[in-house]
Amino acid sequence: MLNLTESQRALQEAARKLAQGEFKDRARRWDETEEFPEDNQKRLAELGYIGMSIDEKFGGGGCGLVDTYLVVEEIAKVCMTTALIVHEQNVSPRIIALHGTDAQREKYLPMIAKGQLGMTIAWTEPQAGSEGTAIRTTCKKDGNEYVVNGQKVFTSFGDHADMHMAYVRFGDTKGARGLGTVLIEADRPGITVQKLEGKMGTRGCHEVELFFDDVRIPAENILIEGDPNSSKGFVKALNIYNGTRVGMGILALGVAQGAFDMATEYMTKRVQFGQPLSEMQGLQWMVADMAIDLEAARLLCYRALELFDQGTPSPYLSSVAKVQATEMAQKVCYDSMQMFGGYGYFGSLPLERMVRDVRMLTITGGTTQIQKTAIAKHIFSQVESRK
Amino acid sequence: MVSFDIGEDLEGFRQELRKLAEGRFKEKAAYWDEHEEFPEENKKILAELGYLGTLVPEEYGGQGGSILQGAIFVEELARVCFNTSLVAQLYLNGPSRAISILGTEEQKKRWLPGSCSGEFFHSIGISEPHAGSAVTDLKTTAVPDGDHMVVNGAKCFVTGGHLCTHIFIFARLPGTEGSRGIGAMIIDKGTPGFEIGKPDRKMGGRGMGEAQAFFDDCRVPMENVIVEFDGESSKGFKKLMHSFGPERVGNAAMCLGVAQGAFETALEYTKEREQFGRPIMEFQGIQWMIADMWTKIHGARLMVYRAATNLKDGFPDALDCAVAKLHANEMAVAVTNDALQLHGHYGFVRDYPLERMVRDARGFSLGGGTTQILRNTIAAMKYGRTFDQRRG
Repeated sequence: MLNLTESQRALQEAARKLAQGEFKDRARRWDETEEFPEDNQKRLAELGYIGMSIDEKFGGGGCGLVDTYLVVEEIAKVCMTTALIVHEQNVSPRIIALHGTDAQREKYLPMIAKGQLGMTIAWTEPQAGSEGTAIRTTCKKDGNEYVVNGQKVFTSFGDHADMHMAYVRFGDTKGARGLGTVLIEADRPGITVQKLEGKMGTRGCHEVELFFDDVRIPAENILIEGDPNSSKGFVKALNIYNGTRVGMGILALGVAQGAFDMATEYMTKRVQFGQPLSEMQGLQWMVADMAIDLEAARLLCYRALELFDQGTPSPYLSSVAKVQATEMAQKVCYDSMQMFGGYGYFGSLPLERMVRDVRMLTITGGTTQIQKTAIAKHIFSQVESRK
Repeated sequence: MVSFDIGEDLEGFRQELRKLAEGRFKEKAAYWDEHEEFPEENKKILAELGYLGTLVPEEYGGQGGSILQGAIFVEELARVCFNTSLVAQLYLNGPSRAISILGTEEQKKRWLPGSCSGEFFHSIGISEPHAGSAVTDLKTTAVPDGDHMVVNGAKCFVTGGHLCTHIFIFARLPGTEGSRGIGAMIIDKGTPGFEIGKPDRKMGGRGMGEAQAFFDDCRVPMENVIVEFDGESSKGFKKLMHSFGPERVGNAAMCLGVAQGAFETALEYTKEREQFGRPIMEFQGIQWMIADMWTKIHGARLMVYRAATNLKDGFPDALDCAVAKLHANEMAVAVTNDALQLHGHYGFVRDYPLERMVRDARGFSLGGGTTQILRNTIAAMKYGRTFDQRRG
């Protein structure tokens, strides 16, 4: 079990109350109508959850990642779309905090913290999925300005953003060399946003294609300048992503725990063959297996986050945690739905939505397959270093 | 040993079905899901071509086909359009089969030709809110009253109930318990006291809604009784369950089709999709995923075809059916899920069929006997005894 401090427990409790009291009943709506949960976003901003990991001197909550993701987990238990907002709005400010200029920090972090500046992270492109360094969007200097050209895909919340944090290529390079990050205000001329229709889950979180056609940005919008002769710019951004990865694990953990709680509660009430389902040994063992998987994922995810907070992040453990938690969630949500029998398949219960929502997490933020490649690479580099 | 060379005739039948499915059902497969609309035009095509009566004896307007032929039929449709395969499954392995097996000469003449022509739409009502896996806990009662039975109760998960012309239901004599006193009858849609609810939104198979059915002092003529109600014995219930063995084969065969369709889609995609400068099929990890998927499909196919051919007195063996359905249900979930994964983020959006296939495949292990109930059946047969699932 996790050793939470008193203040972490209080944070968790407050988030639970908010999630159960306000977000739970509305969760179905965002899925059915495919609306962005505007009301929830406002509440999160009011209560300081947007940008809660931003430094206090910029108006943020000054919380660590463990704190932040305790909140994300509680919200994911009832509404993954809303939990994604908290997650996303706590990733981009960390990149600005670590790699931005003083001017950028002072300008943007307070706005993000107040919920006045919605940010996307625009990385993936049609040809650059698992191969994240295959991006083709270019950023070229022109006088005092820069010009961005290219196309992004699967940019989450892309049609509700005020600003895009875009991964771009500086100079005529290939691979990781020359990659950097720029900030592009969403209302700049030359940007076209195309919503992708018909997502399987988290339907309130719209994913878009972004087209940049000679979009001009001032030099002060360069967040991480790409160096055509090195991959430094890319590595900087990637370090933050190791955190994102665990974030996906926590989202998965939250949804799975939410489904598990509902299933186990139902099992004590649903009677078949004259007894509650909870009395049947086959089902008890299914529940035990689910709990074992959940606990393992929880410990791995929070341990990986704790290492971030302690300033010694482990990309290896982040990958392990992400795979364990996101794969676990597929199975736990599947089995939780199974406990409801035919009822689980219908939209009047949240189970089928949770199964659909959680499905994206083994893909986004680095697929399971790419994590496994990274895990194996780490293992064999350890073996080599022992030689 | 049974050979799984399905023979020239059935292979020809498969090719004929594949051509039909790809030519006429493929294009709108996503449409029925997106609009939650019943594929009426596909049903008409199947009726016009005589396919709805594939398994009905020839003297009642059908083709008199084999259980294996029925399995291949629904498999090929599910490979391309799951919602259309659900229509076929209902017509082939639903009430009309029960009528063919259990009905009187007069009943067969009355209902089967209309089923073959598509004029009749027979739904089936077994589950009730409190009788899911514990099917013998059903509470809908049928009370004899002169030359009628008076029915009271409610059914849920009635596949296509809102479209039916008739419903085939399980009910029981009042005062009976367990499997004793259970019988079955057909009720015409227009019978006073019989109401159908609006279908609820569901995860997959959205072209075929499932509705609740309500019976309030519904008077059903005695000649509509298919299986006699006998308060002293379980014979009626056993007969009914026996006649639904092929339904499990059909359910498992649809799994083969959905999985096959997803597998083929993934196979093509991994040839075309390039990352790290080469098609992703060049990566060993991906190759092994494909190998595992195929091994699961192949194993399930052998089990399903065995269940469809290893017949005793014309019926599939209960153990064969249970293991085939259990394995095929879980295989379909795993294979469609991996096929989605191989498409990366594209698998998650509607432009590709994968997210639909995953949603469709999820229902198999819930309907027609959950995978948990199948495990009970398998264990009971291996121990050679039944285990009372009740306590005390």
